[in-house]
Amino acid sequence: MAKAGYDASTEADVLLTATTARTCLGVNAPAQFGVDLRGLVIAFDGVTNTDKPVLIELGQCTFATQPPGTASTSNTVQQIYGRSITAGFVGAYAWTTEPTAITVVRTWRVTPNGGTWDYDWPLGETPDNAVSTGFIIRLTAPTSNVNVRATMRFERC
Amino acid sequence: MAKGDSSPVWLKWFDGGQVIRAAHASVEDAQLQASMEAKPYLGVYSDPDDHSDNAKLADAKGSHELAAASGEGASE
Repeated sequence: MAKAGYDASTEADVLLTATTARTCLGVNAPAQFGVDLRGLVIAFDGVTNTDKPVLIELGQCTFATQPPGTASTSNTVQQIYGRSITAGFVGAYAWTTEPTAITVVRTWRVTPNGGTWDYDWPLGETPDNAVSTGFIIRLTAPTSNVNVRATMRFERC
Repeated sequence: MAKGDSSPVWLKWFDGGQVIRAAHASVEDAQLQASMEAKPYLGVYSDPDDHSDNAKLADAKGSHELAAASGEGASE
């Protein structure tokens, strides 16, 4: 199944406190579909060029605790293309208590000094997950506090 | 904050020469997360700035054991 695409974003700046891991954005799938993660945008507003790069972890999450909307701010999942149905994806951002359980599947780093990461995985290589589970982006700024904005692009699968 | 706005506990680990921490709703949540990841976890703490166990860092570098599993390192 494809060609039904969605975006879920942080709808405000999310503050990363130095040396504190924070789940900044997440989406959970309904019982009917999984999430096929096409791409991500992550952008920082830092201006200090001596700050170390921020650790970015993409994780699959069962949301056994702190599902989207609990200890986090709910957002609106926007359908971007495809035939419209009530898909039932639930998103949120800015977790204050970490969700469990997270299994990290990709990890990389981006500078917080105005750093922007905008990437689509090649067709056929997109990370996906099972129904009733989701994806999260967990960030750790090693040096200074910094704000981040992020968007997930995904399809139902 | 979930679970009645209770104070979080802090799962701490060692990464790149720094102690990193993350807020969890309970010790059980933190232990579940620790069991999912191969990181040198130090333990679960009620105070995010409790560095009293930092002396364990050298030992923690090669260990993925969660100290709190045995009660060690926990400041609950």
